[in-house]
Amino acid sequence: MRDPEPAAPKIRVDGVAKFFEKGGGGDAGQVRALDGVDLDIAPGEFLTVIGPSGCGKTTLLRIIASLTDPDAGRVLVDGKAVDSPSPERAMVFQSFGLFPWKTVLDNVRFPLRVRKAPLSEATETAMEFLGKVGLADFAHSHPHQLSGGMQQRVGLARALATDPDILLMDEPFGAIDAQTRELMQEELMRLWQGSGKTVVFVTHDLDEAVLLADRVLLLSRSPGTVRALIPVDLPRPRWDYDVRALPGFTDIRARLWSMLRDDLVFAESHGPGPATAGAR
Amino acid sequence: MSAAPVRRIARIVARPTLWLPLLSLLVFLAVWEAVGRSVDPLLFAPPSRMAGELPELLSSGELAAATGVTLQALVVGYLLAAVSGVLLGIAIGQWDTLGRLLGPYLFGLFSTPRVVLVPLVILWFGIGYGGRLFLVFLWSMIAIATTTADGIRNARPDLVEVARSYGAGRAQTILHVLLPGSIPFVLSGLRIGAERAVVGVVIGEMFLEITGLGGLLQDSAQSLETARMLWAVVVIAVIGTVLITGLDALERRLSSWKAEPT
Repeated sequence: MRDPEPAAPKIRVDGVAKFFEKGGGGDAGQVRALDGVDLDIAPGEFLTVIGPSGCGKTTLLRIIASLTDPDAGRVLVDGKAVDSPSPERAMVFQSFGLFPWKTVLDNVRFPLRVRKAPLSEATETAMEFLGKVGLADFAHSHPHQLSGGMQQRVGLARALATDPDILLMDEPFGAIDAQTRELMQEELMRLWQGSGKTVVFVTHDLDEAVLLADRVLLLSRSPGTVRALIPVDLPRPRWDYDVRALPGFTDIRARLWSMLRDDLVFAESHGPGPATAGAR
Repeated sequence: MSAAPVRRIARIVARPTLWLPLLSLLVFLAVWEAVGRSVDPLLFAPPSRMAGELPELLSSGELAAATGVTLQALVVGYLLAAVSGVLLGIAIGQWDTLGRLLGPYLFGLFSTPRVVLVPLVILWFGIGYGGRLFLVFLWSMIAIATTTADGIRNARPDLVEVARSYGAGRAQTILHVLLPGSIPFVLSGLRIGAERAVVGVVIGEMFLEITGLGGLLQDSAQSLETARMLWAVVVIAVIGTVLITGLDALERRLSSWKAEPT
């Protein structure tokens, strides 16, 4: 496990809890989505978050992004409590979140324009990042003309365009076909490696969680609490060899699966769990 | 890419859109001529008699002057309605309270036949340009404002959130997300508003201040000059058609991002 003690954490999640009103029923009952989550994420760390559906992993990510307010606890970035969204914590969305009426270039330019960057400068930066994700030729296309994988590469370029310290990724490859997903994973690792950026990556894909991570955070089923933090000490860069074939990989995967399986079995026999209604 | 054959097919399909309306126009004129000849000339005029009337209407400058008066009030009133309607629509769409406060009045006014309010408009604005402008402006503005507000309210929350996550403020969110996402609504508002504006300008000219094409229509109807009357009708119809066609073209331009098939 990477020792977070000597260096100050990049992100500190401090006793975060989140409740949602129970939809529908007469009782004004509350559902706990997250309960007392404490977590330190080191600068430059790649943390993946996994857990049964409805465990609040997306809620946790949204709280770190300040898109959702926690009902208890707080999030500190570089030691300072945060309460509003910032391009410093750039978000990559599962549904890509591209503006359909904007060209690819305009989409990537968007965060820069929001920050009032001059047009020429914004264009230059946007083209640079489109080049990095291999889409420079599609700058003037519209999102619907691109495949899902390409659209998410635009989403990635947009998130990176403001050079954020932190990337928050909400099942970014969940809507992309399996083969393209593997390419995207490799591409993400190439972009991240050596960048010093801290990544929090929510996924429901166990392989993906282990493949990408420095540490895997396993959340328990509702209410979500930190069940385990598993370090992944596989050599990097991981695109040079078949990581999945490594004994280290299969060991960690098996360990995570055995823990995750209990919660999944429970969910299957007890319904999806009370928190699913408000989990997003 | 299969763009070339698709475009060729599109062009072939597009042709009847040119010749079919032309054919229907010819048939229409022929029927009109036949009916017009068989009816008392005091009640109706065939196209041939209208054509005979045209040189005088043009050389006297009467038709041009009337058209100018009508267009002036229509264009000014409609542009004012478009700008203020979109702005008010954004405000109503953003602040529900404002919508609840203004909504009943807007809908009430909108559903009231304008002719009924002409006496009131005369009291407020007098008989003249101001009153006519008001009749063009208000109803058109309401149509544009209410549809724009619908569009703003129907904005995709996920995209609003994307904007928020990148630190966009309210103005930036409106400019980059809410307004572009509302374009189909705004355009349908502009269409309804255009129709309301054309009717408004004619009502003003027929019942408030006898002038422009509406005045020409009214005058020639009273003196039973059916051919002149019909020319006023034709020009009004042409103005309306040009306006709607222009909005169609605008719509195609603004929604080009979804026009091309994937």
